Amino acid sequence: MAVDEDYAPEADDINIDDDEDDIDRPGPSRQRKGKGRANGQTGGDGMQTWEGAYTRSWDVIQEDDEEGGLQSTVEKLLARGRRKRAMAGEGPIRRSIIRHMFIILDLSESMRDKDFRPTRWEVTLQYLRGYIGEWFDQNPLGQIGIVLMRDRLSETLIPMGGNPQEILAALADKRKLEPSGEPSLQNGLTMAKGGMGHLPVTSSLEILVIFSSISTADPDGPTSIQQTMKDLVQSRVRTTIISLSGEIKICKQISERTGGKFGVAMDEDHLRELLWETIPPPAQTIAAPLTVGVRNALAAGGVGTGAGGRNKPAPAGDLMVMGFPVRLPLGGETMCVCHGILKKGGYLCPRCGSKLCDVPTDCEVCGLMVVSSPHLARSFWFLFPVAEYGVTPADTVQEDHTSRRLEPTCFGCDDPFPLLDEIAVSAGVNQVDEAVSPTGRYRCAKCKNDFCVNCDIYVHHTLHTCPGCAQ
Amino acid sequence: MKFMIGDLPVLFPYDRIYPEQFSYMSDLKATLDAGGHCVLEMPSGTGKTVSLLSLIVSYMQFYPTKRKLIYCSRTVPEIEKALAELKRLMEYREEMGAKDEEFRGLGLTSRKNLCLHPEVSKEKKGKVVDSRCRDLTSAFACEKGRANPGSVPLCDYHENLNNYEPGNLIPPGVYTLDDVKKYGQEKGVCPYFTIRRMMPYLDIVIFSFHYLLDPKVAENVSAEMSKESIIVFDEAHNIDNVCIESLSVDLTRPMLDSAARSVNKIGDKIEELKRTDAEKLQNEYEKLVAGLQEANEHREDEDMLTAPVPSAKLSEDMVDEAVPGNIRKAEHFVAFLKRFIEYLKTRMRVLHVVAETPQSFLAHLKEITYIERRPLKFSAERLTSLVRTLELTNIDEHYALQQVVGFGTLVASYEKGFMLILEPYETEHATVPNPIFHMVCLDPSLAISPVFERFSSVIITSGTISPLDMYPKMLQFQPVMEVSYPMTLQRNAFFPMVITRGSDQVPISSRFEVRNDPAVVRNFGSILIEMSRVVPDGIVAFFPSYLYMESIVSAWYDMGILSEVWKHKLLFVETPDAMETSIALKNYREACNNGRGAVMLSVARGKVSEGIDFDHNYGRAVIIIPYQYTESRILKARLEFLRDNYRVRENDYLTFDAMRHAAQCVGRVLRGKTDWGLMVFADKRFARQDKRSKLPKWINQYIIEAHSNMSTDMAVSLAKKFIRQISQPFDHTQTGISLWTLEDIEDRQRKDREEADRALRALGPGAIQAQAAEGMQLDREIDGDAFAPVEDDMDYGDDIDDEALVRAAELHGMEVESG
Repeated sequence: MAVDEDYAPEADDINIDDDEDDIDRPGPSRQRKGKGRANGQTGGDGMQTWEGAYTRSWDVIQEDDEEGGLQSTVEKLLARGRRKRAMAGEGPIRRSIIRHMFIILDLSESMRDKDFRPTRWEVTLQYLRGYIGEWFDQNPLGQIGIVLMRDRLSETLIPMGGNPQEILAALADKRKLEPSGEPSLQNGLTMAKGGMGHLPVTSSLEILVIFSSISTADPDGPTSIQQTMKDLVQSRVRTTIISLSGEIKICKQISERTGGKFGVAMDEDHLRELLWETIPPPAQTIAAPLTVGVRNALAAGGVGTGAGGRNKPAPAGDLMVMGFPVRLPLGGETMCVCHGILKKGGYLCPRCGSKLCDVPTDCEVCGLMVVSSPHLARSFWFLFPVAEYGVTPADTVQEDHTSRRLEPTCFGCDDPFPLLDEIAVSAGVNQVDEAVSPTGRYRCAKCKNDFCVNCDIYVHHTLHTCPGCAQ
Repeated sequence: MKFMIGDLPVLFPYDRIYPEQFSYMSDLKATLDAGGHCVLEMPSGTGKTVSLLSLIVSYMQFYPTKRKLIYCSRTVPEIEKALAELKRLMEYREEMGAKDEEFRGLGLTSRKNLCLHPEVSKEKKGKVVDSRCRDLTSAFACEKGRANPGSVPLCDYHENLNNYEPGNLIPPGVYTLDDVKKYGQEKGVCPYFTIRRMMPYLDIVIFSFHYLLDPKVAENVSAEMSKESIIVFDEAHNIDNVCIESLSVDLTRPMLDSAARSVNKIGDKIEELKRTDAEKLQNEYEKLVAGLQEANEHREDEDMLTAPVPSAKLSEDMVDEAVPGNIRKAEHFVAFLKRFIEYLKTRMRVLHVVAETPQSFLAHLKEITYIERRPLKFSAERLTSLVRTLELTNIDEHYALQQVVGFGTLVASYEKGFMLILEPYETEHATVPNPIFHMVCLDPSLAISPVFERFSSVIITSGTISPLDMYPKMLQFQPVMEVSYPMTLQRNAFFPMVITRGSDQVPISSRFEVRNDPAVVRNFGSILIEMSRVVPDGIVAFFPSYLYMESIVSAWYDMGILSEVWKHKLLFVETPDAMETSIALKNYREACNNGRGAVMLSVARGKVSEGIDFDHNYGRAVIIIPYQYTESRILKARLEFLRDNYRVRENDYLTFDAMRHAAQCVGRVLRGKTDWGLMVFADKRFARQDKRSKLPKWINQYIIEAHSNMSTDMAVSLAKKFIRQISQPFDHTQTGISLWTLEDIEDRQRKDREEADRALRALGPGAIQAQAAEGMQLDREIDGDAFAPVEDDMDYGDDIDDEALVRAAELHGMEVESG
C-alpha cells in the first residue's frame, strides 16, 4: 500500500513540495521513486555550497495558522490531486493504445546546469529510465525510440522498438550520453519523424522532447523549423515538449499545433510529474479515418499497409489486423528478420512465418502487428476505469450511523475512520476544499463501500479496479 | 457593453472592461465636465485608446454642444491603429442602435502617404512629394491650367475634387487612411485634399502632434478648429521635446551655401519678371504698403512657407504693423537676404563655441550689417509673398533658404526662451570644423501655449508620463486632474529587478567616471551572458547612447563576452541608419520566432526605444543600462533655463528625463495583460528610492524592496524561478479581478456612492441639501436631450440603476444585457 508515512508535518518540512507530487503520481512508480530521490540527494551532497543556487528556504513552506501547522497545506495538496483526477472525467474517450513514441533528448551543454540536483542531465536520465519501465507497463503494445540532440546534430540512440530492456541498456551507458554543444530541435524532429515514416498510420505517432536549452540552433537550410512543424502537423505526429528552462515560443507553438502538451518543469519533481503525465495513452482527437485502410486490406485479404481508402469516414468501432505469434523453443540459433543475426528462441509471425526476436512488434516482412495476448489484456484498464469515489459529507455519515449501517473501518485497509464526534469538532474548522472529505471517507458509488484517502489513491492509480465491486 | 458614468451612458465595444479603463473614463469625464486640462497615465496595453475614444464619442453624442475631438498621436502606424479602433467603436455603436448618422472621423497624414498621382506617388522623399504636388495643385497653376488646358500639368485627382460639393467630399463615417485612399482611387479624387478640405466638417480628426504644435503647419491645418474642441495628446511623454524641436532651427554651412544660391536664383527671376511683367511686382508692393494680408486666400497651398512662429505671437504685433518699408521692394528684400546670409557665414568661421542670447545676436547683427530687428521679423512673411508673386515651382529647392529665413524670424521674434549656440566641431575630438548654428528653443511652453489658450480641454496621456507634476510645470498649464493608474494583474506578469552589483560585488554603474572601467564593462557583459542563458526567445538591451554602445560592444568582443552570448542567442545592433536597423529588426523577429533566440542591442531614445513594440516572445526581458546624459551645451542651456524660470532643479529634471526614458524602454516589452517579461535595471543608482519613485506607478508597484538591490547571481536565480513559474499553464480568464463585467462596474459605483453618502452625512445635513439641489438641476439640464430618458422624479442617487438602463433601452429600442 502506498501510504505516505512521512506525511506527518514534522517529518520533513522543507520537502513538503516533493510530497505533494507523490500523490499525483501514478502508483507503480512509487517503489522506484524512493530510490531515485535518495540518489538525487547524495549527488546533491557532493556539491559545494557556493555552487548552489540562491534559495530562500523559508519561501517554500506555507504555514496555515498562527501555530505554524501544515495540516491544511497538506490537505490542499491532496485535494488538488483528487480534483485533477475528477476533471479528467470518466466519459468514454477513444484512446490510441498502440503507441509509437520517439523520445528526443536534449544533450546540449545546458544539461550540465546544476539547478536540478545534481545536474539536469543526471536527473533526466534517471527519470527517463523509470519512465521507460512505467511506460511499457502501461502501454504494452507501444514502441519507443530515442533520438539525441547535441552539437547541433541529431543521432538515433536506438530505433523504434518494443523491448524495454534494449532501451534501458542503451540509456545505461552514460559515457555515450555526454552532453555537449547546442541542440537543434529541427534536426531532432526531422530525424524522429523520419524514423516513424515506415509505421502504419493506424498507430498513434508521438514525439516527446525533453528540452533543456533555451534556444535551438537550427541549420541554415532551405527549410526552416516552421516547415518542420507543418510537416509534423500534416503527418499527425503528436509532439509533447517538456522544457527545463522556460516557455519558448517555438516549442509551445509546435506542441499546440500538433495536439501535444507543452510543459515547463519547475523542479525535479515537477519534471517527473510532467513526464508521467504522458504515460497514459492519449485521447484520440482526430476521428481517425486511418483504420479504414486496415479494413480494406482485411477485406482484400492482403497486406495491411493502410495506404488506401482515405476517403471514407471511419465507422465507430474499427477493427485492425493483429497476429498472435508462435513462440519458438530455446533450441538452436536461427536467423531473425529484425536484426539479421543468429539468436536462440523468438517468435514466428503467424502470417508469413518469419522469425522475430520480440513481441510486440511489427513484422519486418509482412508488416503485421504481432502481439501477445497478455499485452493486449494489459492495455484494457483504460477502457474500464474505476469510477471516481465520492466525498462523504458529515450528515450522510450521521444518517448512516443512526441507521446502523456505518462501517467503522476502511474497506481497503481496515484502518479505523475518525469517530463521529471528532468529525463534529473539526467540521467547519479544517474544511479546506470540497474535494476533500470532511469525514475522511470516500465512497464508491456502486458498491457503497467507504475507503480512506490512501486506498482511494491506490485504487485509482495502481489497482485500476475497485475491490468492493470486484467482490 | 453599456454602462453609465454619472448621467452619461457609455457604449464600450467589448463585453468586459479593465478596472483601470473604468476609472480612466470616469476621470476623463470629470475633466471634460470641468472643462479643463488633465494629465493621465495608464499602462501600455490596457486599452487606453479605446477607452478614450469610447468615452469621448459617447460624450460628444450625448451632450448637445457640438464638440470636436482632435486626437494627436505620434506615428503613422499609431494613427492608423487609432482609426481602426474608432471604426470598430462606431460599428459597435451602430449595432447598439446609437444614432450617429452625420458622424465623420478621418485621419490626416502627409502627402507622401496619401498620394495617388501616378508619378508623384513614386517619389521616395516626403519633401519632393510635397513640392511636386504643390506644383500641380497650387492656386496659380490651377488658374492657368483651367484657363488654358494643357499649358500647365495639373493633378487630375485634385481637379476632380471640384466636382463635389465642398462640405460633402466623402460620405459620413469613419475611414482609416487606407479606406480614404481606396475611396480616392475609386472616385478619382485626391485623398489628401479630401481630408484637408473636410477638416472643418469632421467630428473626429486624428493626426500627428506636429499639426497642432508645429507653428509652420498648425497655422494652416488647425486654424478652423472651434474652441470647444477636445484635444488629446496620446503617447505624450515626449511632448516637451516635440514642442522644442518644432521651434528650433539648425543651420549648417552647406545650408547657407544652398540658401545663397536660392537667393541668387530669386534675384534672377525678379530681374526677368521686371522685364516682362513689372506691373505684378508693383502690385505686390502696393499691397504690402497697404498692409494687406493676403494670407487667407489660398491657405492650403503654401503650408511650407509660413512663419515658424505661433500665430498668436505674430498676430499681436502684426495687427497694426505692415511689412517694413525697407524690404517691401522685391530687389531690396533680395539684397537684404544676401546680407543676412553673408553675415551668418562669417559667424560660422569662428572656431570656438559661442552661446549667446537673441538680443546680443541682434545687436551684433545690427552693428555689422545694419539689419534691424523689425525687417528680420517679417522676412518669413515677405518671402512667402514673394514666392507667390514669382509663382515659383519646385519649392523644395529653396528649403535651405526657408530655414534661414525662419531662423531670422525666430531670432527677431523671441527674446526669452531661446539660445543661440554655435558649435564649430561635430564631436569633441574632431579636427575638421563642421560648424552648426543652433537656434535652440528652451521653453516647451512656447509652442504649446496657443493650444492651451485656444482649447478648453486638453488631455495629455501616455503609458509612461511620471512624475505627473513635471509636465504642468514645464508646459505651463493648470491641470484639473493628474492621475496615474496602477495595473491590476491576476498574476505578477512582470518582474522588475535592480542589479546593483556584479557577482564579484563590484558596484554596477553607468556613471560617467566609471563606465569605461573594465570591471564595470565586464559586469554588464556578465549580466547579458547570464540573462541570455536563462531567458527564452528575445532580449532587448538599452544603452544610453550610440557612442557608449559602440565602445562597450567592442570591449565585450575583446573580452570574449560576445562569443559567450552567441552560444545562446544571436546578436543584433541598432544603428543610426533606419534601413539597417529595420533589417536587423526583421531578422531579430525571425530568430525569436524560430526559437534561436536573439538579443537586440539598442539605444534609449533611439528609434527602437520609441516606436517599436517587443510584445510576447519578441521581448521576454529588457536590460537597461541607462541614466547618463551627454554634456551637451544645448542640454546645459535648457537646464539653466528651467532652473531660472520654472524652478525645476537640474538634478530633478535629469532624473525625470532618465526615468521617463527608462520607463519607456521597459514599457516596450510589456504590451498587455497576457504578456510577461523581466525588467532588469542595471545601475546602482536605481536602488535609491528617490530615483525609483519617479517611475510610473504601475511599474513601481511591482518593485519590491528585496528585488531592488541584487547582485547578478541572485538576480539570475530569481529570474530562472520567475520564468519557470510564469511558464506554467494559466487560465487567462481574469473576470472579476482585472476584468470587469457590467455587474462589477455597478457594484463599484454603488460602493462609491455609499462612500460619498457617508462622507456627506459626516459633513452635515446642509451639504446633503446642496447636493440634492445640484442633482435636480442636473436632471433638468439633461431632460431636453433625446438620449436622456432620466425622469423628473428620479433622485440624484439612483440614476445609474438597472431600471433606468432598461427604460433607456426600451425608449430607443435597443437591447441591453440586464442583470
